[in-house]
Amino acid sequence: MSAVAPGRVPLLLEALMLAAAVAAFFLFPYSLGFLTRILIMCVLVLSLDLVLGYGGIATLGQAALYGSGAYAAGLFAVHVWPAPLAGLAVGAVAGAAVAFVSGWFLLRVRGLTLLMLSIAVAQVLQEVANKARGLTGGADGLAGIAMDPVLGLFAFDFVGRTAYWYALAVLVAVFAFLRMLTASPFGLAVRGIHESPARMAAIGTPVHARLVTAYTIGGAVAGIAGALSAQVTELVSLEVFGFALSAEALIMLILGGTGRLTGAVVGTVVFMTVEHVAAAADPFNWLFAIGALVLAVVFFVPAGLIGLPAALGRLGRRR
Amino acid sequence: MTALEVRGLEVRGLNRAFGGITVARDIDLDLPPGARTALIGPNGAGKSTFANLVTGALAPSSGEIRFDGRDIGRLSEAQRVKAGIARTFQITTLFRRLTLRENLRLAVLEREGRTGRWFGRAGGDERVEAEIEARLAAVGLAGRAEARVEELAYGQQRLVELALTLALRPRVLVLDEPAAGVPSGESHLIEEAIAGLPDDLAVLIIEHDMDLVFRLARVIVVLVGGAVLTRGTPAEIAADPEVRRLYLGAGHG
Repeated sequence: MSAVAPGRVPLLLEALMLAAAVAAFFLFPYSLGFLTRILIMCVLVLSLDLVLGYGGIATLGQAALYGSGAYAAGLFAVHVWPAPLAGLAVGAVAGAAVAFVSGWFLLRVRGLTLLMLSIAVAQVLQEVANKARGLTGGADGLAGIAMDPVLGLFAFDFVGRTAYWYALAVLVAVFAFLRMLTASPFGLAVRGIHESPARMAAIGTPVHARLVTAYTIGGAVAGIAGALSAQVTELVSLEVFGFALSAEALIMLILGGTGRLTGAVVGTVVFMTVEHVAAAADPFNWLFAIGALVLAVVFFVPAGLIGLPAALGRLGRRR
Repeated sequence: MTALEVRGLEVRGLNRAFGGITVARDIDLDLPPGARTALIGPNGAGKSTFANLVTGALAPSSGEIRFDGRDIGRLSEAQRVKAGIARTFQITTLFRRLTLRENLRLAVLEREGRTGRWFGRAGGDERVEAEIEARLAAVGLAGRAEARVEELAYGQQRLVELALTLALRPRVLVLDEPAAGVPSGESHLIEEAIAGLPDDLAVLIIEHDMDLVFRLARVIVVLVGGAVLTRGTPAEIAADPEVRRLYLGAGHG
């Protein structure tokens, strides 16, 4: 059975994950801010899964797209219209536009060259945001965002209840869209390019155009994640373009399992929870816990945590 | 016969140089429908370069490539596939971690111009799935549709590549060393598959295996140093003293 074929088991897993997200709201009413950050990060890691997990595009610059969405949505809210859904659309367009323009050039190269260039794009954008103080607030961050109620009905509250449901709704919508996309002919073509660009060209696929399209869609989703973050925290700082964000997103994806949407979500939830708990337990050595976890997964379950049941099953049969 | 009536592939005066090194020199070649032409020559003679020039993986330095009278020398590799020219590679080039079904599905969907679609399941078209099964059965791989390519023996992977290439419904097929790397016990499968290709398909075989070439080809072109040394029927080539001296060597006596 193909790893990403949509079937009954993934559907059950997805339903359980959604139920867990709903339960978390009631179980941890004082951690809604943290839980909302997890949901937003899930959207970003899903965008990376499309680009890297499915498309095989080696990137360490997903923050370029996330940050573009964050600043675009923040500026739109401050200067134009503080409606959340319109802001999401603006963030998606900004992320897609940056992905399209940078991807048009970047996606002519592969491997390490592409990796380095993707980092460079994010660094350049960070410097631009830093220098454009008058517009972005520079190192102080973009402040003064005050969002309208979602759909004019649900006002953002101090505890973060609205923010949580809002972020969850966006995550579910993004997940459903990517689920459809990855099962479509286009999704299969993107996986084909990951497997063999030479064979894809030799069956007549315009490989570069397909890659740019996939990267642009990934940019739109990353831009939505950035916009969500800007709206929920009502602040955009230069860190949205940071290398650390791109790298963490990549680690979360590898941890959960690349090329599977559920893997992106599981990896993000596990990484951020371990980080949260370990940092609270031992503020000085918490990185050790993350490092040990990632090493263990890479060595023992290369398919990621989402491949753990299958790996344990194989282990059981061997005995 | 006017230009419009010319059918098949015509290569005229094709050249390709890398820096100062000429790897293709004034090559002329015709592949009308139904052709079974083999390109032979020692290592480094420029055989794979010629395959890459015809299929568009490489751009020629000069010369003409016409297909049904139309100049295709400047078309991209993907555009030439759409025009009807498909290939297999010297080293099997497939989607290794995808199933045989998914491999062929990509070829069929691409042939029908559907791989850009975001909606609908890739495997949701029964007509496409039936065609995939028929094509796998034709190369003796019925029942293996759900296996991943990497799980197959190399000779079987060769057959998958052939089935995938045929799924593009080409009119010209370039086979770059189809028997290379295939264990001798499996090479008869490749030979049977090539012998069973449609009669109207033009086939260019680049091959080291002389037995295979002499059994399958009706025209043999000998390439040395990037240029055509001679060409003729298998009987003519086998009798040519220069070919025997330059290429076949003492081993073939």
